[in-house]
Amino acid sequence: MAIVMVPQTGEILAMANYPTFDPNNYTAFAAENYINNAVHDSYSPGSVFKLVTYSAAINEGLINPDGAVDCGGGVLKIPGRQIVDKHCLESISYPEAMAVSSNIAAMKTGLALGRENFYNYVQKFGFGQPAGVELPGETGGILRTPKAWSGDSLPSMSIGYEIGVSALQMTAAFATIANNGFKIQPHIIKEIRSADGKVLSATEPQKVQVVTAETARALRQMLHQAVLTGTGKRARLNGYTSAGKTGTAWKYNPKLKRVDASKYVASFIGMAPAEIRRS
Amino acid sequence: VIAVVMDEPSGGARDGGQVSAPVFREIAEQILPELEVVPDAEIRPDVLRAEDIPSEIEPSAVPVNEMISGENETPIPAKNDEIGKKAADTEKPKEPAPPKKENARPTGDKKSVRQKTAALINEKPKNKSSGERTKGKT
Repeated sequence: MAIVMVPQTGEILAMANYPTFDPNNYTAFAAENYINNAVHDSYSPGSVFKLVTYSAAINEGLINPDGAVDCGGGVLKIPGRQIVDKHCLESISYPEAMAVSSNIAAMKTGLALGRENFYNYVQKFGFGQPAGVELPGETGGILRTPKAWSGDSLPSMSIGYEIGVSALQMTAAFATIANNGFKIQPHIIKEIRSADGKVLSATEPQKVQVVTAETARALRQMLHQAVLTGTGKRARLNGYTSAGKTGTAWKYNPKLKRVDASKYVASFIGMAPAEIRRS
Repeated sequence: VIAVVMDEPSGGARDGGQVSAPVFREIAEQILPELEVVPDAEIRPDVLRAEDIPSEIEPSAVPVNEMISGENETPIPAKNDEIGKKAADTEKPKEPAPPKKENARPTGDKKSVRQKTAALINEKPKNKSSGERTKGKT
């Protein structure tokens, strides 16, 4: 699935799903193709969710985006398991941590925030409730309250696991960063006019400030780095700067009762122009 | 903002950077001129353009490929477009046959269009011009 959204206005310019179906000949297609997965499907986002983790920590002043993070030799002990991160062995800058998609750097950032703080930002970014687009069947995703979290939930959520999101929610979160910290309710209807052209109603999307413009700018710088030197190199554009994040999330396998490394959700969410010099 | 999310991409490289980022690029490079967004970076006419990436990524989901190449406002030598189209044309009939380079990376899975795409994307040279690339193909 793919979504194109104007961050400043919240307008959804395009939304696509594949496999698809022909509404004029729908019986020829499998029923599951009728679903608009971009708003209906809830999945673990993986590394693209690090956007939320870093945004929260920078906005709270807990990390300095120009500073560095020490990955402690590339090993981090969290309750129940040990995380090994070959991308971050010693001290690296935050843009670099975003570029190589270091799990330990993001987990440490999440742990620095603490449960309640992190949870508040996840909510403020719009997760756990439908994004509010005028389309049927929108999911709110899955967001448990901190009371229901286990010992390793916070670090897991910091890298986009133990949470269910829709592609639209995730898009809106990136749009918030593109729009200097203001989250705009995504919508597909600009205005409704009568036959004689009179405007009957115009959409006034909700607008909420989630992080400061300064935080958003720092995030765009980090996302730009990911495209310049990191995992998102293939998103470099001809003629435009771009910024974005890759995500490769293992899917939960109900049979195995754990994530299964053979099934992925592979995503890239980004913005162009990157607008790192201005604003 | 453009989001590209693929559920269980099959075959070859499957991570977000390999399979989804090129789609972001393909969409962005077509949509930004359309929205009259002023370019803020150098335009590199010699670079492999989105239009030159084989359109098999999602054949029915990206039908605008060839249509757009004629309308694109970005200054690009017409020659490149022609080569791109020619390559696309000559490649399509080959679709059922396993791509040559595929043998180099045995995966054991069924050969699929997506696999081919992934393999092609994988091999995409970093700084080669589209001319150089298509030469090998035709």
